[in-house]
Amino acid sequence: MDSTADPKGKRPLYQEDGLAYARAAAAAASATAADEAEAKPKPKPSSSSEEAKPEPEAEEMPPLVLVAEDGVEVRISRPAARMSHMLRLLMEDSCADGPIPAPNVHSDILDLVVQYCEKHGPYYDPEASERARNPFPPFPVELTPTVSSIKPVTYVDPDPHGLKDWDKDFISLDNSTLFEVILVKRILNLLDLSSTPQDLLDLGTTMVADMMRGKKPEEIREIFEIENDYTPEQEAELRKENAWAFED
Amino acid sequence: MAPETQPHLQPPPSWSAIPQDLAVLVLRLLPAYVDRARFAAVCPQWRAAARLPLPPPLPLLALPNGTFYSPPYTKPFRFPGCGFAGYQSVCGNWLVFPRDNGCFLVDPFSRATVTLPALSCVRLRPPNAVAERTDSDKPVYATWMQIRESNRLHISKLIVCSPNLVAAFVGFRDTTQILMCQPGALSWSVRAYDRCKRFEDMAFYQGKLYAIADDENLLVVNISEDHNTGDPQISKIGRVIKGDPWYPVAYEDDTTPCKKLYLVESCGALLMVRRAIWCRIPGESGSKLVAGQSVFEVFKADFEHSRWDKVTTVGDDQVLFLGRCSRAVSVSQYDFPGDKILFLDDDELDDYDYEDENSCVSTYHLRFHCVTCVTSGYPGIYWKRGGGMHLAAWLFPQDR
Repeated sequence: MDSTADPKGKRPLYQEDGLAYARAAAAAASATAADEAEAKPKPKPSSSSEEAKPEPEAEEMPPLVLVAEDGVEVRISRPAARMSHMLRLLMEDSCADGPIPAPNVHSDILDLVVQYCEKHGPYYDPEASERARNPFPPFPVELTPTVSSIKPVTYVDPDPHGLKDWDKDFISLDNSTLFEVILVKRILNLLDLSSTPQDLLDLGTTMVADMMRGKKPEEIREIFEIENDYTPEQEAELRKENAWAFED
Repeated sequence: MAPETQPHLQPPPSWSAIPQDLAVLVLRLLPAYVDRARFAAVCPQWRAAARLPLPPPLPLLALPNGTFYSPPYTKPFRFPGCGFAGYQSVCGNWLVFPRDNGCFLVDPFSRATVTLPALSCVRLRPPNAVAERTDSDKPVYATWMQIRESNRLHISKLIVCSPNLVAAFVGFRDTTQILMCQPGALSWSVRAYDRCKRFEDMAFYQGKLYAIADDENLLVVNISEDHNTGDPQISKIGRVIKGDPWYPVAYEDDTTPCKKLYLVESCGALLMVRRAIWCRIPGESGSKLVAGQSVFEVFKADFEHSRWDKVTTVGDDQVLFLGRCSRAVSVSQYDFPGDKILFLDDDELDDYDYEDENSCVSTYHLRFHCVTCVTSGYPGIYWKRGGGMHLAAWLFPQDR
């Protein structure tokens, strides 16, 4: 596949942390199996494993296969799949080798979500979001050096990879697609709802809140193509109670 | 975006069927009360989502002419129905209207009403208390007996501690007394011989009622039940914190600070906020002071050592809304810088005049600690002083 992965267990060139080293050693052991899988011709996802990638150990593992409701297979590379809590658990439990069904999700939508994950995946650090949520871990503190612990103390550009601009373009979708994308990302995150900043879920909900802010109910219904399900009596009661919210 | 290659097997989901946890995430990003009310008005499913537990919205600014503002929007709204103008006080989500036949607490949105006895129906403790004291060596100070017949009596502060207990400061200017009653009861209850004070604020904190006067002593008001009627009454007032106050003096540069105190609960602690309104002493004798900038100091109650501990910050995620009804609101999820005090010029005392004929919401930034850190809180929101408009207050609508 590429020269950096040596099936004989030699240390890969792009050594970043002890964890990666351990994974690389384990991957080397199963490298023969990976090599066989690599030999078959396969359509590659948009950002596949190349030499410049900062996660060398993932290159030895094949991408995950997600199956949409219309039967179309969508591939997502392992580093990108780490952005989903659910997929991460599957990978850790080594249950991610076969096709993973994604029911109720159309392949177009799944494709979009995978695109987002592929773009953000290489820079995603699940430990960082854990730390953000629990700034005071219980003792004893794990002292294994991780990528983020080597971050410099001086000012760090909050967006070194230009992800914000890419996100802005990405999220300007039409409403129904936006809704489905948010739904899918939520399913993929599962237990991880209160997660990382600028996650696709946050991006989507922020976008939705911005569209609603300051608008009257009729305008909101128009924007989101919602049927007014209130009966005339309920509507009249609502207007009486909250007339101030409707008036100009 | 990739073009559609195959048709969807199911119709795309409608926004009205948005899952509740997603709706909550969106609502958490909408801090203005009017946005949440409009969200609930879109369709019944969204209304159900809006009823789930949410972080509280930003409070409304109620004006006594029957209008209100929903910050951060600068458009005034009218209360629904008859307008609710002319309230005398505000407590949480209630507007307080004292009338000859009773005091009424009304929630302007849900129209719920709580009926309290009229201010003329007050039960004395002891029941046979008299206004004229014959003992010549008793100190001369005003008690409820001296002020109760006045037609200038009004409620300067009221709080609903529980469904069975309402407490209020009743009196005028700097002579007020603590009264309490039960909603639906026939009369208020007062300790007839207690000295009237310049009570500044009270708070119901951790199940107890606390009051503070201008001497900055924190008093705990112990409550018992009347044997005959079951109504609440004050059994004893104890001092839990001895204050270390300053009293206004005139300075060489012809300025003098006027003091105002607030009690507010924030992050589980009881805070006292001391506001100094720096007034200018005008040249002509007999003229009123002219109010200038406000400077705030915040203290935390240390019950163990019976003292106030000064604090320099209330936390980046907290904003204190100070007024007739004061509360701390958490703003961490609203992307709103915290550690601020938002306050109003809502004094009913005639101690000073203002230069500017317009009143507005002001912000004091705690981290800067200087007189110049008062800025306009919501620049588009202002109203003319006079005509009872000093009763502008923060209203904290209840989640429905």
